[in-house]
Amino acid sequence: MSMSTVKLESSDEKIYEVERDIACMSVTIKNMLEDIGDSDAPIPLPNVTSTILEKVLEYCKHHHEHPSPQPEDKKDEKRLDDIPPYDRDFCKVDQPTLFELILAANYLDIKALLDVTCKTVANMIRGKTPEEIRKIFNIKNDFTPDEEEQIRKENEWCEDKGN
Amino acid sequence: MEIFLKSPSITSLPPTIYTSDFLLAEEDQEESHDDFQDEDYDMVMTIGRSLSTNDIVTVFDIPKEVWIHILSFLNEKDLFHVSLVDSFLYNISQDNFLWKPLYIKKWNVIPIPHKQRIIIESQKHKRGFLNDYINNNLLNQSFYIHRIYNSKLNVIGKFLYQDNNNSNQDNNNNNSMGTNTNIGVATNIGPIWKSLYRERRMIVNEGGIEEFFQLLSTLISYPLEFNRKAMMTMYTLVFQLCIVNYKMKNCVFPPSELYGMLVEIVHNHLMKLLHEAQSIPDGKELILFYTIHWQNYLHSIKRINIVFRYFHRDWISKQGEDVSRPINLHVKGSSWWKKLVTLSDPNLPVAHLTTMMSRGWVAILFSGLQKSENDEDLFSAFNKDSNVTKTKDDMDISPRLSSVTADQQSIEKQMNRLTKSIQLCQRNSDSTLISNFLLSVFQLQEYLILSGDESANVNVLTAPMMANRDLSPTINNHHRHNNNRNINLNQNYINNHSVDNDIQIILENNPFLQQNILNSVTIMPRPQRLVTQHQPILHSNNMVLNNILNYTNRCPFCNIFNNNPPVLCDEKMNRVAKKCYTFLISTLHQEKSNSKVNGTASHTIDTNMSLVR
Repeated sequence: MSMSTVKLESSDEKIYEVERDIACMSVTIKNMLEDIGDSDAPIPLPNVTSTILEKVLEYCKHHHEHPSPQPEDKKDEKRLDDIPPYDRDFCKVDQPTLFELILAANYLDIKALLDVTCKTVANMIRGKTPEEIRKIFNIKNDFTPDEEEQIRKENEWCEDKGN
Repeated sequence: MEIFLKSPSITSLPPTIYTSDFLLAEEDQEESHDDFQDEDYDMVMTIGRSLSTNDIVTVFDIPKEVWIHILSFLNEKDLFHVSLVDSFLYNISQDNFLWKPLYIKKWNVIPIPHKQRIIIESQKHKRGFLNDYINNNLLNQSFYIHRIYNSKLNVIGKFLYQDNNNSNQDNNNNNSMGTNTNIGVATNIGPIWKSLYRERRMIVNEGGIEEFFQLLSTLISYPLEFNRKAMMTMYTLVFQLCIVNYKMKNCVFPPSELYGMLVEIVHNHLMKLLHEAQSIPDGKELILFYTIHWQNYLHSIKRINIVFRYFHRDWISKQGEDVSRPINLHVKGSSWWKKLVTLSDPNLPVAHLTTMMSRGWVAILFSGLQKSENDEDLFSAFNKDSNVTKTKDDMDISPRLSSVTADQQSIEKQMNRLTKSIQLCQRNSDSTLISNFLLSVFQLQEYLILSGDESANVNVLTAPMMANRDLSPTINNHHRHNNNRNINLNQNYINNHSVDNDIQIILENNPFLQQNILNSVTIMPRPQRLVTQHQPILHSNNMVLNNILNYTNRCPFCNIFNNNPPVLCDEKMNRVAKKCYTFLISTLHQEKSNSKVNGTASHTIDTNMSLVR
C-alpha cells in the first residue's frame, strides 16, 4: 500500500497530515519513509515545535506548488540577492523564529529552506561593522584590546581591498 | 468518529493517542511510582536549560556548521568584521571552507591553508561543567544510572516489537478512539515512547553514553526491529550529540569517540556472528547462515546511515577532505580494521560509515570464515596447541582487548570454511543458495567501493527476486523466534527452487558473466576511470547484478587489472566468487544437457545458452 499522505508529529504532540511529496522535501523524512516503509504511525519530530513545523510545512507546500526553476550551473556562486519574493516575505519574522527555522531546516535537512534562512541572516550581517553585528544579535565582545588588534593586523589585506 | 481528516491541506489534528484518559492514568501511575527519580530528572533539565537561554532561541543556539553555511554567503570584508565580533565567531570565520572560494574568485588560486580548519575536537576529553556537575552529584548514585540502563533494552524491545507488528491495529485505534476495543495494544506506545524521548534528552544532557551504546548495539544487531519512531529518535539523538558538540566550547562527546564507538559496536556484532558460525556445520548451513546475516547486516548499514546522516554531513565528510582516500583495501583491509578497533593509531583516516562497516565484515567475518593460504604460516604456531574446542564462554566481552587473539583463534579453527562449504553445496547441487551467496559477495564488494560519498545515500540493494522473496521472511522468522540456528525453516526454500530459474536470473542480468563464458582469456580494456572518484550507485530492481558486475569489472581500488572473473578488490573474495562462478556455470551446462536428453528444453535455458555460444 502506498500512501499519498504522511503524519508528522511535532514535539508538543500535534499531528499534521501532509502530502507525501511535500514531506519528502525534507531529506530526513524522506529517508525514514523510504527505509521503514509504509505504516500509518506518525513520524515524530522531537526537535520541532508545532509553531515552527507549521511554518516549515507552509514553506514546503508553497514550493511544492510553485516549483522554482533551478539554475544548476550557477550552483557554486554564492549569491545573496537571488531570494525570491515569497521566500523574502517568509523570512520576515522575529529573530528567535528565524533561528528556530534554521535549526528545523538543519534538522529536517531541507536544503532550500536552510539556504534561504541562512541567506537572510547573512544579509543581516553584510556591510555591518563588528559593533553593529554585536548589537543585532546581542553578542558580547569577549576580546581584549590586544587580541582585537592582533586580528586586525592579520586581516589588514581585507580592508585594503576596500570592497 | 472520524479523527484524521483526509484533506490535502495541512491539518492540525488533536493528539488523540496521547491524551486518552487511560494513558494519562497510566502515566500518573508511572510518575508517582518513581517520583524520587523524577526530581533528579527535573534537576537535570533545569541545568540543561541554564545552558542555553531557556526557551527563546538565540544566535547562540546556531551550531557551528550552520554558522559556516551562513558565513559562506559573505565576502572577505564581511568575514573580517564577523571575526572581530567575538571569539566564537572568530574561530568559525577562520575556516578554510569559507576562504577557499574567496581565494579562487579573487586570485584564481587555491589557498595554502593560512586559515585553519576548525578543530572541533580541540578540547577532547574535557567535559563541560554540566557533565562534571552531574558526574559528581547524580551519576555516582548508582540507582540513577541503573534505572535508565536496565530498563532500556526491555522497554525498547517491547515497544518496537509491538509497534512493528501492530501498526494495523494502531490504525484501528486511531480511527476508533471512542471505543475501548483494542486499546490495550496501543496503550504502551505513548508512555514508552515518551520515556524514550525523555531519556534522549537525558542522554544528550548528561552524556549518558552507556545507554546510547546499548541502543546502537541493538540497532546494528536487530535493525529491522526499529520502527519509524525509534529511528527518528535515534536520528535526533545523534543530531543533538553533534549539535551539542558544536554549540558548547567543551566537547561533551567528541565525534571521533562517536566514530570509535560505532567501530566497537560493529566489531562486537561481527565477533558474535563469527563465534556463532563456529557451531554451524560446513556446507549449505554455513552458506545460509552467512547469506542471511549479510542480508540483515545490509539493513544495519542502511539504517546506521540514516541515523548518522547528520554526522556524515558535518563531520565525516569534512574529515575526508584532509586524508588521502581511498585506502587500498586488498592490502590494508584487515590491518586497517585491527588498528581501528584497538585504536593504536590516533591518525587513522575516517571512512564513510558504509565503508567502515563493510570493511569490518570483510576483516572479521569473511576473513574469519575464509583464511587464505598465505596466512597459514602466521597462525601455524597457534595451530599446534589449539586442539581444545573453543566454547562460546571463551568469548571476551571487552572487544578491544580480546580482538586480536580472538581473531586468530577462531580463524585457525575455520580454515577455508566458505570454500569447503561451496564444494559441499556443489555436491548437493544447491545452486540457488550459491547464487544468493554470490550476490552477497557482490553486494559486499559494492559497499566497499562506496567510500567518500558524503550524501550517505546508500540503498540496500534490492536483490534479485529470489533473494528478496525468500530471504527476507527467513530473516524475519530468524528474529521473531530469536532462534539463531533456524535452518530447518529454510529447508523448503532450498528445495523448492529449480536451478534454471535462478541461473537464468544471474545470466540475464549479467553480460559480464556471459562474456566470460564465451571467452575467458580475452583481455578486457583497462578501466577508464579516475581512481578517486566514486559515484553513488543507483539501483533499480533488474539492474542490480548488472551494476555490481560493472563495478567488479573495473575495481577502482585496483591498479592492477585482472581479467579473471570476477575482479574484486579482495583476494579472498575473489577466490570465493570464482568458485561460485565455476559451480554455477557447470550446473548450467548440466541442466542444458539434461534437458536435451529429456527433450524438455526450457525456453529460458535455450536463450541463455545461445548467448553463451
